[in-house]
Amino acid sequence: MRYRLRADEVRIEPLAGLTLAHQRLSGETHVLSEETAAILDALPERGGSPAEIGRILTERFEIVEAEDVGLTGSIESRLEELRALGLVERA
Amino acid sequence: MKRVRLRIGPAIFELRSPFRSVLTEVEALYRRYPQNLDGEIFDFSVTGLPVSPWRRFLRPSIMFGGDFSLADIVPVEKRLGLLGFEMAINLQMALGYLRHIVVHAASAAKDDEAILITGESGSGKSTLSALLSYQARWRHMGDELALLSLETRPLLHPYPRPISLKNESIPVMESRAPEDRFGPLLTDTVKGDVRHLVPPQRAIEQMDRPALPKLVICPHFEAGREPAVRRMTESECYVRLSTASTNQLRLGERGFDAMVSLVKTVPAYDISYGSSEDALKLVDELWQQA
Repeated sequence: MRYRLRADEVRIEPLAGLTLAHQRLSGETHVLSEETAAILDALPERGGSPAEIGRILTERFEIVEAEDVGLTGSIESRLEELRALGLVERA
Repeated sequence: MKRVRLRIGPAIFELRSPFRSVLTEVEALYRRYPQNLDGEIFDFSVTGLPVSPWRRFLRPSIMFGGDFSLADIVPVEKRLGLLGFEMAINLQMALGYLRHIVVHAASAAKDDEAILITGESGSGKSTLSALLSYQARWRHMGDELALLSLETRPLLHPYPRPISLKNESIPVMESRAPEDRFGPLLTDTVKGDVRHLVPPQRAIEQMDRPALPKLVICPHFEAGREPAVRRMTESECYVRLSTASTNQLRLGERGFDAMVSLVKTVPAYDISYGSSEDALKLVDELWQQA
């Protein structure tokens, strides 16, 4: 499964502390944890799979043995949560 | 039916009630505010009506309403009618006003820069706002609702209605402000004793003069507590102000942009103190640093 940000409908605004995601259609603002914000930041414009995003994060944050810590599964869970909120969609 | 019009900052209210004495109390409290508003278009109507026809005379009880109302509003005894109108006016602003972001916060200005004081009821927000309003050089802008403009660099607009003092804060201000600025003492309300304090005249005369936010504080009063200061992160400040806003959600992306701009450019602190003197000292120190 590949995911991409609903870029036309969502504004991402990093603040000191946490990141905000504002949904233009509903007017709602979601407060994202650092982990979730990092996943969105790593999401390629054309979309990406949890495994691809895992590889990007592994490189970016110098994570050793990504599969051992269940990174891909964790990313997929977060992306599904973000999809339920309407912030990302399946590519 | 008696009618009274009030202008507080950018909004004009028309108050209507058959209880003439209650509206006479309102007129007395607002006698230093702009008068002769009959030719103006009003923004909100506010009504104070008898619960039933016979309750106009027998154990008089008033149901407050207006353009905007809540389902769980309960009637108020006639003796507390002034308080009822004040609450109904605030409700119109909180639920129906959309020209600015409305934040449940107090504000005050020094020259053209402002402090925004946010906090839950009982945190000491109104008392601190009252203390500042009667300090030299500070200009009271509001004790309950702050109005933030929808601009890239948002400005705070005054909404200087009379300050609603509660319980222990009443004697604190009775020793600092002239007696003729106070409304009647209202006892046994849902919030205990309440007495309204009309801000100094400069606050009323300059109710159309906005100010640039320079400092956000979140006060915590606890008798005898040692003063303490903690810097808030941008995101903590955003969450506090955003949850204290009654209408930001309805203002969409412009509301979001203005709020983000505020928290990114204005330092915010959580302050704790145990006395009025410590509170004023902390605010003064943080204001100098900001």
